[in-house]
Amino acid sequence: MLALIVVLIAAVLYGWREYHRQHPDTATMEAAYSMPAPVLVKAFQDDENKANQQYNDKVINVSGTVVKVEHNDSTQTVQLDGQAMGGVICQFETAHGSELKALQPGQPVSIRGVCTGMLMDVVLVRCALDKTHH
Amino acid sequence: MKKGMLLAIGLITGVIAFSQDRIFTRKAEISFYSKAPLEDIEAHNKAAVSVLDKGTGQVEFSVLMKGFEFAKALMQEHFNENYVESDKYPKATFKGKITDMSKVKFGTEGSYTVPVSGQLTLHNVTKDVNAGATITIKSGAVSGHTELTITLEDYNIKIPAVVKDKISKTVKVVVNSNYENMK
Repeated sequence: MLALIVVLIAAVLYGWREYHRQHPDTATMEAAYSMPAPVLVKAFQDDENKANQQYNDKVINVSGTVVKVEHNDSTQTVQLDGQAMGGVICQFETAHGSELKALQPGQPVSIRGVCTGMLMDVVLVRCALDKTHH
Repeated sequence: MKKGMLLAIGLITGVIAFSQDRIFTRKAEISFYSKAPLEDIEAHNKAAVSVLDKGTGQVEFSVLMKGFEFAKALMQEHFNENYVESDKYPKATFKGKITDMSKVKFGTEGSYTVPVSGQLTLHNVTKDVNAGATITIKSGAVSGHTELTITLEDYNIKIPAVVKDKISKTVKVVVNSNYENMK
């Protein structure tokens, strides 16, 4: 009887925690891949289906040159140079938005984020500056 | 090298041809909301691509399903895995037309209400949709806003039986886009 209650409590606790689970901070997660932005873009341009399977939902470290940094009300975005037809758009996690203050176009940078696929550009979300390379 | 030059020329001429009437954004915001007894659901995507032709009124949107962010990680996983199956169908697109484009005076500041109709492709199902949209011209910049309600069943999105009566069968989709001129 006691065992049953313990199991029940454990199950409820697990369910509660699972239900309220937050997204992990990308900065603390291990990157599955590290590559220059043009290489990632080319992989998507060459074979989008294959690249979707390989990279989507994965944490990727991309290194590249900053084209544009944009601050909107709630989002900070960095655009990295890729191929002629598209680059990498990195949407920063609000908590990491302040890391972009000093970032200038033309500057080399390393950013990690979760890959969501390609439209005109490859899109990474929940980004943070990659500190392991600095 | 030669290939690069050709591509560059193609790009330049392409951009010239585009720059006449087309405006675009890579950062359109698409959000959806669903209110239900079990729980309210909302998610936001701020990296949708949209192109609007000011001359013809042709308008297109494209969005990555995995880019919709939910407050709760579990909900986002369920959305991708069980509902929209984003591994199989990574994008949703809308291709349509603002049917009464002559109403919009791009040279005059103001808000214009226009009808939009077109096809929405979601979860590998394409349906006709109609909605009202507002085009706003302010300081030379063009922005668009629209809201529409879609029924999940229309797009073959199945609600698991256990939560069938507790989750709304429709979702409200809100779209905001601030366009830039093609440079």
